[in-house]
Amino acid sequence: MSEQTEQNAQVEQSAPQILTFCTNDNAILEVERDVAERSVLIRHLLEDLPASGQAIPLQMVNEAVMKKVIEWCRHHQKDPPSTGDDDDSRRKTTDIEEWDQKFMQVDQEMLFEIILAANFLDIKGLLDVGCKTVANMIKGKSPEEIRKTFNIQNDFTPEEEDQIRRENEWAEDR
Amino acid sequence: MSAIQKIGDSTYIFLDIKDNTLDDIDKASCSNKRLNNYHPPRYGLRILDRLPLEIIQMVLMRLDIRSLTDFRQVNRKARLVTDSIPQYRQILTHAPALFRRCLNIESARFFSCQELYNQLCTAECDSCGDFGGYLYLITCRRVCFLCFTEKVDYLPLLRKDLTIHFGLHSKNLTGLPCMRSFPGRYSPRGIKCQRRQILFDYSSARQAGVAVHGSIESMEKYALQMASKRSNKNNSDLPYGRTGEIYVRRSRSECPVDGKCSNPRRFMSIISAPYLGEQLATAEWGVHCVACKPHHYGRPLHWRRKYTIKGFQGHVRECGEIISGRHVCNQAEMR
Repeated sequence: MSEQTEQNAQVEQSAPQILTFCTNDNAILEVERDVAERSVLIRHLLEDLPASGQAIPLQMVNEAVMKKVIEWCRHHQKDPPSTGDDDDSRRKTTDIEEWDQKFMQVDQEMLFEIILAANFLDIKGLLDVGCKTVANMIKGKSPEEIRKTFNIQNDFTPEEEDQIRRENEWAEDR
Repeated sequence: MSAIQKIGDSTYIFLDIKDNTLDDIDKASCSNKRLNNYHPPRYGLRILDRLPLEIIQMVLMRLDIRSLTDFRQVNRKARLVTDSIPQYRQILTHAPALFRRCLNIESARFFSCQELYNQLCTAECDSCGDFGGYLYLITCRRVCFLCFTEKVDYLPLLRKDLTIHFGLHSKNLTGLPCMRSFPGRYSPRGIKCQRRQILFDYSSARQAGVAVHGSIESMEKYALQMASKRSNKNNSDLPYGRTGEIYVRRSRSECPVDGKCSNPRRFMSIISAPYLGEQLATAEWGVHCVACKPHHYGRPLHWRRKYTIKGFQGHVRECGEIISGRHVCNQAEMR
């Protein structure tokens, strides 16, 4: 990982610092290279095709979502590159730092679009925060409350429901 | 002595050792049956369906087990998705009781499926590095018999103990890992404990105490002050009698009698747990050493030590080859 970054640093001197992207709704966005390279997909893309100055098409992402993604990448530009293992998140798997919490205060539609974009662009940190946010929407809720949160319909028969509930209960006779 | 079954020449397992942990709690009282007929789902998960399956699984792996269990009850699709998580299935296959027991003692909201799975993929006791044949289910730590019966970390505390030892009051207790004991018999002595008690994790409570008071010193100072206040008050309430006899009550700030191996509280959060090795098809529950069987009570020959197959080789290297049921020292220095 670090070797790659070094290589990139060398390439960078000759490469343009500003990249342009074309989203799937034909918006053109300009992003600093350092920021865009939080995305592993973009980093690999740039390694493979040397700078041509043309806009890079992003067929999976629209403008509004890409702007959010860029905002996140810009804020986390100085973060150390992810270590790749999950040790740091072993404890408190659903804790989110304050800035990210505010960042994720968007409607469900946007939240899920951001997660999909993070997955597509391969931005581990953002994907992580997205997953934690969804986990927190489920956490501590009863099945009925979860259904309400996501507008999900229940198709269990009463017998099935009863049986599933009992799978984990201790038959307490008192 | 319990019946044993030899595993190979040098190792054995107990067939019915009565430690009275969560393993031994009235097995008949809970249904082991799981619903196996999957009717095809009629409805999906709405917006959640937009995420690829592996991302939903990532989300669910982060949920505490209580919430995961609730999610599984949302609808048929939710159950299908939950049951498709590879780690969840592994645990269900090899140790389904783990889910049930942590839900039963209400500690399931303190750790996630990912954490539980990680513990199962680690063989070593969190405290000593031996093979840990058990999980301490308040915070989901792997532990061996010797450590959970000896070390202070595995003696869960009552709420009043938290005030006495760490100067914590009710307002400091939110989110602190705890459990609700289940009525039953605990410890090898089979002590009957009928009341359901809330028990707190020692290490987390201690950390919380230090955080509240700023440092270990100021926490201890505060606890001491509280203790002397209490003992003044208590002594004025006394005499305090039992069996008609009058005696002065011992200050509760002193360490209460632990009793170690015979303390039922040490067994209320303990359940045996397999080690899911690298070949994931196998689950090892650990074996004892034949040569250490005749009641040794000190390491490295303690009769309650357990080994994985790999770990046992290390034990033989340390304590000597086993010839006709005894460790034979192959090193001159051992004599």
